[in-house]
Amino acid sequence: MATSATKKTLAKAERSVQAERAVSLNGEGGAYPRVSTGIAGLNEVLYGGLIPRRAYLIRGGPGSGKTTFGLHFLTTGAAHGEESLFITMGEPEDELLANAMELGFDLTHVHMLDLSPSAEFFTQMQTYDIFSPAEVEREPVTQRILEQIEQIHPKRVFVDAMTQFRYLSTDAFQFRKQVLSLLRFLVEEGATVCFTSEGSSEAPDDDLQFMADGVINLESSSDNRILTISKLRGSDFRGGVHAMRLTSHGVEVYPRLVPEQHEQKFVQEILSSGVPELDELLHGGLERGAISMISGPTGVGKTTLGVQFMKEAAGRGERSVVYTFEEQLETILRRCESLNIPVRAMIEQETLSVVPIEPLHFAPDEFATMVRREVEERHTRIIMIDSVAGYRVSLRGEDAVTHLHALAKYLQNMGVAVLLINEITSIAGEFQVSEIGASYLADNIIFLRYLELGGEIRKVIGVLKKRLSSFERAMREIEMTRYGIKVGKPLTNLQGILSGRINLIEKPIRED
Amino acid sequence: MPDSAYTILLVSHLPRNLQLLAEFLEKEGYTTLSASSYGEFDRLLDQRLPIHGALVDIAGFNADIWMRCERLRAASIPFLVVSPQQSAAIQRAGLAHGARSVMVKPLVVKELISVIKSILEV
Repeated sequence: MATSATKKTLAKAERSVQAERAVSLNGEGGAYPRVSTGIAGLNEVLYGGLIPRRAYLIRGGPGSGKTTFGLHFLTTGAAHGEESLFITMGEPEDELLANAMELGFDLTHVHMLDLSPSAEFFTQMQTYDIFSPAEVEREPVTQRILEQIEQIHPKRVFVDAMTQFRYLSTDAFQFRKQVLSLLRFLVEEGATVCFTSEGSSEAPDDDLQFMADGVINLESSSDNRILTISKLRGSDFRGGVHAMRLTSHGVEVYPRLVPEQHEQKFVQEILSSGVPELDELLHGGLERGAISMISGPTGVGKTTLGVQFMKEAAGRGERSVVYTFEEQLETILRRCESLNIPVRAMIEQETLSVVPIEPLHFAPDEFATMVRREVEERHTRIIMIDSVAGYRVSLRGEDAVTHLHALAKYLQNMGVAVLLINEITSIAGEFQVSEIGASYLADNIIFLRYLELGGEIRKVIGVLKKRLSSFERAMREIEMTRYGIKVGKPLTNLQGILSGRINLIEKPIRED
Repeated sequence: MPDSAYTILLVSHLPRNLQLLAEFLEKEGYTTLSASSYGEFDRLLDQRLPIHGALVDIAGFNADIWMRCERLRAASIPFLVVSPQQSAAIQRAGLAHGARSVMVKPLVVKELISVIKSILEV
């Protein structure tokens, strides 16, 4: 009997060690094994997870996701056979269980300790004023916590909310002493502890922040949720602001993209467009791991030009994705088909995906996480952002150019060819590459222009910049026909295209 | 005399107050008697039980409570008055009717025990 119990405990311990190790292998964690928080994005921010047997503070206002965080933390432990304990000081157990079920959490293997005030508390029998609540309630509360811990020896404990202890302490010093001794007790018993605080400007929780080994801040505004780490003893972490979302199945965290942390070896090769004249103009084509900006006024064929490269890539079996911020999916598909680009067939073969992005739905980091999944899980090799202005307007939050920079650099490090579509407002006239100052990002700049010649509107294509190779200096005429994109011979008898005042010249000017 | 030999009379309008006081004092080894109304108070005193000290929480009682205080004084039972708020008038009245001390709620358990100890020793 005794041996079977021991065996069971051993097996359980082994399983939990395995769980910790699995996390540490996935993450970039250093000397310490890590405990998964149950939220993939957060584990990444923490470089693998929480350091075991420490106490972490989860701060945030009402409705910021603190309790949901706890549900992730405990159910992940329970799923790995670790004893997990939820100590609730505010929300009653049955309500908590109902809310958890709504979000799809299974708390059957999580122990609950309900210390929330019962309804009887309000009745005459329970009312007292002779002593302060601190004197009366503290002891039974402490006693019940002690009993539970000694009985189940939890590996994970979640206390919601620790600030309730403030009302059980006669002064700030007592509170500090009590919380510290409770945390120390839990940690010495082998638990990793997360506790929440309802911090506000009226009731600051600085004391708790000093006591905790790590502080995770959850903030929410009307249209944004963000997560930041302000302290983590014994480990580095990914700094800055990370996007967060409360979904119907819990918390999701989208780590801020740090391009330097991602790199992949790739063959430096040139992607042909499949149109020989266009390749001549580009002296071969576009490079893998290069950021190419296609710039031009509305309706000139920027998106189509980009999709042309994808058509050629699809022929080699490579996958491409278009993120469209402006146009409807159907519009793009129909237009490409009319230009002899078989987009529907490409989508069917999964060599192409066109993803319309709803305005104001995504935070930039959330969008970046989506792109990363495409690159890291589906090995997408060409990504088009259509357009840069749409990206800036559609994604919530500020600093869009910085986020776009990070995303483009990340894709570059991963060897993905990036196509940034950039619309300029002027149809003709003074030449402009980009209106929002993103052109510094581009390794290649291809521009498309309208041109009036002999009373007829025609289109030209030219290259302004190419970092990795030389390119043709002359522009060429480009036409979108039902047989595909047609590019003509170099236009050497025109001048003044850039300034918008075009003249025909009798013989080509050659300065060199 | 050991603490358990002392009996303390507790007077308060709220049953939960009496219960808590009794709990804390019994933990210290005292025996307690409780009264939550004038009727109960009078009955207990009429029985001429050996009472060594009393604690009177005046909240919820009218001015007649001072007559009860006089009864305690007449019976040579040392007692404490507990007031719901810091008030000079209550302080004066309490002391004038024989209270050894007037304490203000909420009480701190440790302080209460030491004050009770001191009035019993005199």
